[in-house]
Amino acid sequence: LAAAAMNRTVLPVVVVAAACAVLLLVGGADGSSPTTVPPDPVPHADPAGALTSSWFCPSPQGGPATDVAATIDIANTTSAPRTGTVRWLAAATGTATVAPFSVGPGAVLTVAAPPASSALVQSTGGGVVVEQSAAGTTGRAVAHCASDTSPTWYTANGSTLVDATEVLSLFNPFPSDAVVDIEFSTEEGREAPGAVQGLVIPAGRTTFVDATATVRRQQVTAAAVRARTGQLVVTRLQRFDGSAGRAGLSLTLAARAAAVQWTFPNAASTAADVTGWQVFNPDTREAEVTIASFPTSGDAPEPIDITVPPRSQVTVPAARDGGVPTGVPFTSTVTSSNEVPVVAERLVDVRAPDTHPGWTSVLGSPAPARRLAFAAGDTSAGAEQWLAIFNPGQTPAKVDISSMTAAGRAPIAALQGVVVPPSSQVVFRMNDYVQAAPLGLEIDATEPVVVDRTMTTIGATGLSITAGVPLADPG
Amino acid sequence: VTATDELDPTALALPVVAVVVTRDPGDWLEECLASIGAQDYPDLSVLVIDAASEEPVLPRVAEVLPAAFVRRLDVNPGFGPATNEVLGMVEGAAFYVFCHDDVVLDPTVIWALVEEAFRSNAGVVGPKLVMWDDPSRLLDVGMAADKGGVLMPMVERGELDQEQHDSVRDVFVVPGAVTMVRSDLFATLGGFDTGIEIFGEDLDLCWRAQVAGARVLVVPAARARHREGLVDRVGPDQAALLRNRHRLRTVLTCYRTYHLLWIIPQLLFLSFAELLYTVMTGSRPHAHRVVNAWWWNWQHRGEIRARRRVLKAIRRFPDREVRKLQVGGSARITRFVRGELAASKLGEELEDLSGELEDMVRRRPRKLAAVAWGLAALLFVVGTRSLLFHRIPSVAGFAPFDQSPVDLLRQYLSGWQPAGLGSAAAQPTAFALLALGGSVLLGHMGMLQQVLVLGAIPAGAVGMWRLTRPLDSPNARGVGLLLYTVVPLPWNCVAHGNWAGLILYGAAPWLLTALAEVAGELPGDEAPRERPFWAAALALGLLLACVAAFVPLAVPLLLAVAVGLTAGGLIGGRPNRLLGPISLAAGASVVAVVLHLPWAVALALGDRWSWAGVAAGGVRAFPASDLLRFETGPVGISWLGWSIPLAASVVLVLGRSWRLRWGLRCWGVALMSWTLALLGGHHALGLPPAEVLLAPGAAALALAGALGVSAFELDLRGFRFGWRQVASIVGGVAVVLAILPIALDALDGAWHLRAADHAGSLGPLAAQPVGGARTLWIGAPETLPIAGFHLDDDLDFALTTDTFGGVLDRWATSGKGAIDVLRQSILAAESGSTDQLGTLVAPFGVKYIVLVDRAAPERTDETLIPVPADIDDMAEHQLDLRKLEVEPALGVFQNVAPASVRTLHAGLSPAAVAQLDSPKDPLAAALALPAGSPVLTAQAGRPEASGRVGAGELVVGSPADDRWRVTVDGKAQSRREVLGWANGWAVPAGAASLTYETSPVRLLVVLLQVLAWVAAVVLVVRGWRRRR
Repeated sequence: LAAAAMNRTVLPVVVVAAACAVLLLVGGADGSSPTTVPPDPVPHADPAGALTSSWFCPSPQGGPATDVAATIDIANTTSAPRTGTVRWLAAATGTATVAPFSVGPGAVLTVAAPPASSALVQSTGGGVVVEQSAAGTTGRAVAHCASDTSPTWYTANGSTLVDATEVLSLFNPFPSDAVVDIEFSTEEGREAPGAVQGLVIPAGRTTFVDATATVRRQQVTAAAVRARTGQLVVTRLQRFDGSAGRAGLSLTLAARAAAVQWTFPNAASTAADVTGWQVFNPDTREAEVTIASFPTSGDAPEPIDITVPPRSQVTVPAARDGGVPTGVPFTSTVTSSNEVPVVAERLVDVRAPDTHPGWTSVLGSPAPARRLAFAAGDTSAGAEQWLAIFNPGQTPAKVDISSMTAAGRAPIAALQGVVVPPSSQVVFRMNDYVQAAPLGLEIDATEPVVVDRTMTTIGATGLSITAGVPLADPG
Repeated sequence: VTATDELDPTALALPVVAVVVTRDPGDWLEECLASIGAQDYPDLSVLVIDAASEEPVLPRVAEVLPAAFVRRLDVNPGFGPATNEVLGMVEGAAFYVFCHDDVVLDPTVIWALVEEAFRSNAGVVGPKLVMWDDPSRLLDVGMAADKGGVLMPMVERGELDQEQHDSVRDVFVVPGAVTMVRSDLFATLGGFDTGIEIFGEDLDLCWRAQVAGARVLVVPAARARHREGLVDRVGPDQAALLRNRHRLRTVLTCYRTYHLLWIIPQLLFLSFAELLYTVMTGSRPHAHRVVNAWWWNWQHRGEIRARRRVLKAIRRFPDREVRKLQVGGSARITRFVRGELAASKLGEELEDLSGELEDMVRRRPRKLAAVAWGLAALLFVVGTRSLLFHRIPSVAGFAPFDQSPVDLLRQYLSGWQPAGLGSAAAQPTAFALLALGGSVLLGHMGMLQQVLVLGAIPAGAVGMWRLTRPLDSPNARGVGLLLYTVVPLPWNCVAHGNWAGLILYGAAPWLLTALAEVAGELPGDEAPRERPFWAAALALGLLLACVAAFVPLAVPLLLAVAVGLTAGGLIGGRPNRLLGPISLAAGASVVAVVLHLPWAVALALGDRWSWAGVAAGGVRAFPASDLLRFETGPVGISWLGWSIPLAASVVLVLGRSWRLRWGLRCWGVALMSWTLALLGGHHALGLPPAEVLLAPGAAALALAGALGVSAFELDLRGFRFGWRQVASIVGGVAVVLAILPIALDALDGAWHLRAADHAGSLGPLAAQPVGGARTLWIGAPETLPIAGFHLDDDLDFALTTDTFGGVLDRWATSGKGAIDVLRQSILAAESGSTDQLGTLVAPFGVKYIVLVDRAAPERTDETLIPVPADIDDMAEHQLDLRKLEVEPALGVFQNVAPASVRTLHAGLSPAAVAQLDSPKDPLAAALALPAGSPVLTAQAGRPEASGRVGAGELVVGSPADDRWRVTVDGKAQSRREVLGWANGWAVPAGAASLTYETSPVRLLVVLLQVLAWVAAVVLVVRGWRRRR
């Protein structure tokens, strides 16, 4: 009886205590914290279902490079027409000139730029890709426009030697001013010239920073543009006059962020090439980087391991440590083995007597994609264009390539169902399949691939390499 | 003198005067005088000061010491002042020896003291004191003191004297029974403090002597017996009172100012802790002593100032040097710990303590209750002193009461509800109640806010007092009240501006009272139970309706509480009226819902989010450990927070019969509250913030604590000594400990709620008229100044008219229709689908977008709940938003797209008009709509506006409703739905006006609702009178 009485007393207490214990056990502190998605370092097309799509094209016509002519190419990768406006914002005044546009399904439209004006391209709906071209006496260059603004922008290469002109275009498309600091990393260390600290980029305007005058006589000038307030878009125009052997014009959209891996397919490598990689580490930690090359023929050379100190850049010639035999096209990857993100560019310097001389330095692709597109392209007489497709996966990729011209989209019959073996690249000379200007391209693959387009001018200086712009997967 | 000469000690002896102060001495005086007369010191004079003895002592002195001088005083000034007579009477003495009349000196005492004073160059010396009756036992061998002047004996009182302490040493104080002082030092010091009659003069003299650079020594070779008769003569309480006073006086006198600034807060804290302890142990004299010490010294502050000036003139030692002579820490605490909780006798002491506690609660039943009320009032007044007579900052749910009673009444009668984008939904009954309250207070809406916000706390306390009435034990009721007061919940609600939580806190005990009555078994009021179910349901329903007007979720919450109560009852056995509480809660809920018709229907069909109530704050996930301690904000100390559940658990281990069963019911309610709060934190069931859900649990646990006292009173005696006695003591200590964190936080004066608010931060924007535009707020719900709409699990958005909004914006309306379009607009921008959010929200009239990281400006240290990075990033990326630097806690963006609630779009193409009328996608239509210009900027009332318009398409960015009217030059225009959610008119140029025509049905419904409330009140009052 006593035990029963005890149970009657103790049992309820045990129940309550157990309930409290359960609460404490299941109701522990929620340790989960929101994950932050790192910004996409390179442009991408908004999904077709997006309400609007904006592209930002900083003017290449500033500083000592006012003599270049600029155009923008708008490609509509969707199956519905796209309308919108190109808002030309005068670099100096921010005065806006609005030009409406309409692009049919799968079509490409070229719009000439007014002098020294950056473009804000706004379309209804997504699936639009915009590139811009600059043409001058030292050739023609094509670069992505930006699909996003950012408070940070990085370039891994650039040169301010006596034969070079380097101009950074800082475009602020917002109604608020932006204030930025620019830091250059050269072979002699870091430089943060006072003239580009606290630099105000007024709302709607473009500021041109003549790196040649700001950071004099440096073989390599990686740049980090960091906004104290506001956001902006940055491109780099690099020009060599040929007085020191190299000649060409290169226009490159800076990277919005660093990445752990960059992939560089490559269409051609000739005996005259001076190729290599510029690796810039904008982080405050040291980066351990491995550069691997995958030639289309022959054995792959040993990967190159380098250490990139914090906020510094390192130049790696392709010929280092044996490298890849000249004349063999190859894909390369720059990978940070300790997960410290870096920015990598690949330099291609083709000099006479090669028939396609020119100089360019291009960002790689930080991630493969199943669908990619190019807005600008040219396979008309006098121009030559190659397409390199690299399949980094372990499964063969089937690739369909379509052309986009002013008339619309058309599959290229010979380039349907092209198989790209795992860890391999294939290269096509596009002039062999289609002749058009402007010529946009759309690549649909069954597996994620990386695509580069190389454009040259036959018989003249001009070399431009651009990575494909990832498109959202349909549906 | 030659080498062969012997030194004659008498020749070297300096004159010493022994001063004996006496008053109505007993028969020990002769023995004392005889011992002085028997001293072997050659040059000793004796002065006896008769401090107005009733029977002059002269004959007795003459009989023993014929050579002694006797001075008789007409009044008794006290020991110190009487002793100071020596300064005017004696000249040429090298030392004075001040003696009580109840000491007996060994024959060599004076010699020993003089000798050591010379040897050590001491200013004050004293002998070893032993017990009067047993000289082999020690009383004092000098004393140490802490920074607060609390004396710490160097020996254990009654310790056997085995000469173990017989070395000369520096001490802080030599006991005043026998003290030898160098005469020049005594003159310099001005003698004893004349403000100290008895007790404490020795501390004061020694302290000042040390400040003046003199050493204080104890000379154990000199021994005196001490009878300690003084305490007997004045009584121990008075002695302690005087010691406390004088000790504080000495401290206030002897420290320099800057040192006092550091010491006084510490002493205040210790006094406060001592006060709490004494209050809880029921020691009124002790509490009086603590308070009196401060009060007495405050009254004598002029004297203290004067003495400080005197001391400053002779100061040779800085305080830091004097502090080196003191002991570290607190002698009081050390003594308490050492004395009260000696581990070696823990069991015995706990038993004693238990007995004392039992004795205390039995003998002084009403005292504890009075103390609980006093403490509750003190905490409330001290803790909210900065809010009581000032404007309550508009933080989170503390809406500014910016409408007059007439405006509120007009709004209540109107058919258009303005909160958010506005809607034709029924008006909240709260508007009418606020109008009524404002009228009662003659339109003082600020006062009404004080009453409704801060008044919830005393309402809760009174409710708890009422809830515990059936226990019929003032002690139990006092503890219940105390526990409910020191729960951190309401204070954290104040800190976070959680009005809904406060309302529930105020109402919870009343709601529980009604449920407890119907559940039965409580002993105190069996008689009044006999009332019909409908009457009980009506009364509870009326109360519930009042609460639900501000916190609609109170209705389902009451049902949950009833379920918890029933479940707890089931654990304890088979209760008599098992379903009584649930039935009553259901009945009351029906009454409440009926009283809130038609608003209740609108609410039920609307956004479940709004059930939480008046900007109830967001749902944050607290760990269960925080919920169990009711710590949802800055108020509280983690480990001490467990005191409340600990105190509430006593009933479970001590209780029998109805006490245990009711204890289990209370725990059932608490577990229900915690479970709901835990689920709510994980966004389950659309539950409101934890503070709202925890209030019934807090009330239930306080009741459990009260039941624990009842069990202590009634059940403990039935057990033999064992762990239950220990548990009762632990429970008692837990109650005391539970007070500490709240007491500490009360010092803040506003429970960490700072005066600054976002209304002030946004003042510059408000100064720029926005002409019928709105502000879109995005942030965690608890940071928003108004009721919001759900954006995602952790994020709300809200709209205010103009910049900050007011009390009308505090009731969220339907979160559907147009609000959905706005929500989609924000989500589209968040997902990166557009970077033209400004254009998208322009038709809603959104001029500013404010991202809120804190409920109040950054300098207030209000909890940081940052807007998610993707939202921040989204706003930064919008091409038509201009960022304004206003306040770090706010991300303010101005819409550069023309935005107004009333916009005229002139010259639209037919295609554009067609898209306006029949948009495939409201968002795409908004993007395609050419910019318009604001019109009808003269606003007469909230929906009404007027002004001149040109010809074109007038778009009013309020949800489409066919009762909107537009007239141009007096001619009615035809309304249609545009953009898929807004109102549009094709208007000609002219003078236009916009009105909302309220339906007559609405007025009829209002009439019915008023009648229902009046009927309910009348019936409840009649029933109450009948019961009385």
